[in-house]
Amino acid sequence: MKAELAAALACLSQLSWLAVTGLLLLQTLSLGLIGLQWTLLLRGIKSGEVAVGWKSVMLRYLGGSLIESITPSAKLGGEATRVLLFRQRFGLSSARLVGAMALHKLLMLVALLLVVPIAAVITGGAAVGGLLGIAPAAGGAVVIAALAAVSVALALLYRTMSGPGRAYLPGRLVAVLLVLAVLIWALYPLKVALAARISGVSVSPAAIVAATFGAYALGLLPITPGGLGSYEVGMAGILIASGIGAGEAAAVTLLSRVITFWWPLLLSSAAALTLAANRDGRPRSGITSRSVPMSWIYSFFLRAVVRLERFAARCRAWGWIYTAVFYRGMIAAEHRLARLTPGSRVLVLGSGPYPMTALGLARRGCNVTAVDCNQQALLTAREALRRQAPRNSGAGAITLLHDNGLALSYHGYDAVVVALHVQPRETVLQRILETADADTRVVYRNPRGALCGAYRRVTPGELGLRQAGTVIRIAAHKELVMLRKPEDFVSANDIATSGCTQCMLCDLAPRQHGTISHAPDLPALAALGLRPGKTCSLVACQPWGGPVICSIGGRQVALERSIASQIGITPLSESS
Amino acid sequence: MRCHARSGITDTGACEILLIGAPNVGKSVIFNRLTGMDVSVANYAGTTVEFARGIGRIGEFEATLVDVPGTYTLSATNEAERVAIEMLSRPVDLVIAVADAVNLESSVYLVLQVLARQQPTVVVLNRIDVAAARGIAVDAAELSRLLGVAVAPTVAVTGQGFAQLHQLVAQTLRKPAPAEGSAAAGTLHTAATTETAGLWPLAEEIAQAVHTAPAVSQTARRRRVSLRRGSRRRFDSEALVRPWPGLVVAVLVLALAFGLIVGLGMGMRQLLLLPIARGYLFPLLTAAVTRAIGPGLFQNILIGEYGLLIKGIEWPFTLVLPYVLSFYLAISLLEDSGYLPRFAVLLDGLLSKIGLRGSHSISLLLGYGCAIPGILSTRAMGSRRERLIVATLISLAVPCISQTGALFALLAESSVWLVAALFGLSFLVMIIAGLITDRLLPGERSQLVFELPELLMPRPAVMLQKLLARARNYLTDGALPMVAAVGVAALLYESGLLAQIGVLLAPLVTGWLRLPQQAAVPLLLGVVRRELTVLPLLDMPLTQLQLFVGATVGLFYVPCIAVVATLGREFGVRTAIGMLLLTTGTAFLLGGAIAQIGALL
Repeated sequence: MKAELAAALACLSQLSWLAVTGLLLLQTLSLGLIGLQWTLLLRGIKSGEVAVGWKSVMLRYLGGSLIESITPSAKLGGEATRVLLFRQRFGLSSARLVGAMALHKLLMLVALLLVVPIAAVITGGAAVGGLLGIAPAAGGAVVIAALAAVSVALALLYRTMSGPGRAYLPGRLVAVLLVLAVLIWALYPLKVALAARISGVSVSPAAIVAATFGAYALGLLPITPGGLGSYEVGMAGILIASGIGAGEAAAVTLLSRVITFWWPLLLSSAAALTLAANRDGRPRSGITSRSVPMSWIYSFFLRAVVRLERFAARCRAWGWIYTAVFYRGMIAAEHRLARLTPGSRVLVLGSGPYPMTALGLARRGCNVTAVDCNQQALLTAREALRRQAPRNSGAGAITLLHDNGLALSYHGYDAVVVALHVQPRETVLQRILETADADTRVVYRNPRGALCGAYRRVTPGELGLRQAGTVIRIAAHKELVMLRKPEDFVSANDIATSGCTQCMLCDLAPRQHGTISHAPDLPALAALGLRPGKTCSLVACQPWGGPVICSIGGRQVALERSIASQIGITPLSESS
Repeated sequence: MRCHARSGITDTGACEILLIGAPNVGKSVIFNRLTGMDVSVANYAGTTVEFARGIGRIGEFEATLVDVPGTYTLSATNEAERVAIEMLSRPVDLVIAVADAVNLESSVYLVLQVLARQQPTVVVLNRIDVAAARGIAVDAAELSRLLGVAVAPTVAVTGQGFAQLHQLVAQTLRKPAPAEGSAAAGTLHTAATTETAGLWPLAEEIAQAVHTAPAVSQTARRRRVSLRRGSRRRFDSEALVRPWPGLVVAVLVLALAFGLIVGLGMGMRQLLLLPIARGYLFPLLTAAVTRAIGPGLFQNILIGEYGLLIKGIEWPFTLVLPYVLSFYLAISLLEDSGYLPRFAVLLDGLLSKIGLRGSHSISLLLGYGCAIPGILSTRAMGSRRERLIVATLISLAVPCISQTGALFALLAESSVWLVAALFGLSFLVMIIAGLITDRLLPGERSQLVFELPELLMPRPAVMLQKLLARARNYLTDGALPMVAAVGVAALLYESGLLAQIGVLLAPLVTGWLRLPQQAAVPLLLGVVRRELTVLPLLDMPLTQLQLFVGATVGLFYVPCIAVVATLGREFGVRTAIGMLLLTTGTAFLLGGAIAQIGALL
């Protein structure tokens, strides 16, 4: 075993980088060809306004490849992802896309049927015949049969594709697609042959063809992600069977895998990242869309949360785990903090597709009204509650309400619980304080630390309250703030002038805006625009006592923390 | 045409023109365009720390242009600004005040301060393209009317508006008159005499008045659209200064830069230059010399142990040059993109633990190229105390790129771990030295306030120009002294003097450092150029321990003669001598300690 490994390494160590680069380019080319195929196909079936560009198709094709490579779902997962991505980007209907997908698969299959026998015949393949179970003499017959199959398949395809109400797909386009498919398949054994050549292993063409397609077929088995393992074993096995040393076979296998799997994986990861970074601006979440722009990491995070919660609404086990991990402690703390008793009337704002907080409080005997502004989230929640009702006594005691937190009257509740994602936070909280009865307990969740990027942090001071509220830290990145509506509550419109909400620049939350009320007398500060009356926002506070970075008039300015703590700020309630 | 030579400084009779403006508005680019010189430019504040002088022709006038270090105001808060104020306080023929169309308000403030000095002035309104892209349009004519001086809108990096600028400058030179009779001048006069802070309302008023509705030109609109669509980019640039993911990105960027420097440098050396030199050039030279000159002293000097034609070519050109090129390529990328200040901000907290500012990390990074720009760059930031700390660290423990290249050549061939250990040692010494100097030197930390420049895509043409300038600089200031030193070494070696010196230094070299006797050579040569403390060791048969000891001594040994001169000029002779003693002492102490402890194990 050791000797074989050494032999494999010896083979690989003499690789020339130029040759490997060439191979990588060849692989990139064949990926590009597939992208071209898809572009043509989508253009063929496209109905409307959105232009289909090769680049955007390629990105989405590769995005699908990522799923293919990292999940054991083989082609299935990848193609499903592609259908989703194409649908989202080009606004095509699912049915049409599935039709296109079927056509694509069929064309590829037909091309494969063309390529394999022809390759077998060309490479004069007794060995291939033996290995693939095709009798050498029958090679010609297979070709003819394949061609017959092609014509039948194409005829059938035409029926399905050009039926009533479907787009007519010109025959020339199908022919071009087929040629491309043949080209793509033909590149497969070529890449393996080149890989063998540059690692200095001589393999008969027949063995190459057999190993390539044999291993490809094995790799499609949905056992491991991307057919890892099965592909390798298949290819090495076929190569060894054709009389090549184990070490050399391993070398060829590894190299070909680098070219045809790891390299595309890298490309597709890059494509997926690009896709994740490109926000379409179309709110797709079940939870309220946010008005504050954010970097793509946070948007990715928020979307992930939405998905997880939706899934929690459907899958009981996951719902249980999700609640236990993220919510149980927090709900208990809220229950304690708001001093709720059985029969208390509670309003949960921003309950989402799976109203965990509402359920948790209802189970403790509260009378819960769950409010969300997203209709779809509420429908999902209703479904989840109906399913839980027989087992969960609390589920029946929840009233679901579709309303906007800004317009709602909060009169008549003992407590209001505000979720983390409710936007715009200050305005909603102001509204609650304005309309709620005196002595209503308002509990809202605040992010801390890294979560501040994803959600907005609001301190009681920013609401124009003199009371600090009761603050409890939950887990690593959250805290609960409990406010009581004071008797002499000042409404939001007065705070800007009342001037009671002084804080220093370094006290702002990241991305929060404020108006400078006073600044130390440093010439550089004034020159950079940090003068009283100007509006600025905090970008970040550096760790280890490092500087504070604020954004003012389109500039980013770094300030010593000691200076930043001398700059007085009146926070703005609206972030712009 | 000759000027009135009001200043009396320019005895040639050329006009003296001062170029003044806020940091990073493009004064140096304008300077380069007007004079055809290559003053270093980068995308962060404080690139020009020493004022540069250049001669240019404007209209019929021969003019000496002075590129004044950038200042936001005329109220000396650091040495660069003090230089600027001092220059403005004596009479000159013309002041070109560079205003930033993007940040008009503070630019106008500075211009008003300049106008209050009663010198003939022309205002350049630069970066109008960036302003237009942001939807800011500035009415130059109105600005000119309000300020009472000529205003030329330009885009310095592309050269747009320079014809008009030339015209205006020539016009003003013909009729030199201090700015007067403007609408602003009256207010200005009283405001300037009483209180500079009183200028802010005026500046705001003027900036308000000249901001017109954006001209909806086709390009501007397209730009704006693309800007809006790329609003993600703005947030990414904010993300770069957030601890997460900024710190991770900083580590990645450093690693990438390091990879680029070492990979490219080593690649050029091993794959291109060394094969050419060793395979073709040296055999050719050796053959030619042996044919031309018989064996003897002269032949040995040319192609012997320290052969002028062999080592004098191999060391500076195949060994050091590749690293110089790759280093400046990497550093230009960082400089021009505007990433460096962001890096500095992230590291500020950490560096403050050893008495430094984040902005000094830029100086340290520059020091890894060459100690001199590293030391000079501290001028723009901070107090003398901080400058001294940075200068000490750079002189002591930061190898310049030439030396780094030599160290790689010496150590990496034996073991990569030696390289890692050496750099680890250098960081350790840097931290300790920082901690000690921080405690020892009196004074307080300066207060940091600086602007982060916009992130820009580096312009290939500018980078190429910079790279060429650096390479030319290296050839004249680095390679030539090195060749000369090799020549001296060859002479000393062949005449037998070196052996004598070796005997003289034997107790130190063989006894304390446990190196072979000929290792005295690098100690002598190293005074001239830093990398020469390392290069001669390449051809000696040394054990790994000896390699490490030699490299350690080389690393901490005397910074080259030019650096000592710079230190003397910047901080005084006493400091320079102190630094000399400190570095030499540290080098022998550490090297000896390692040698002696290593011998015990």
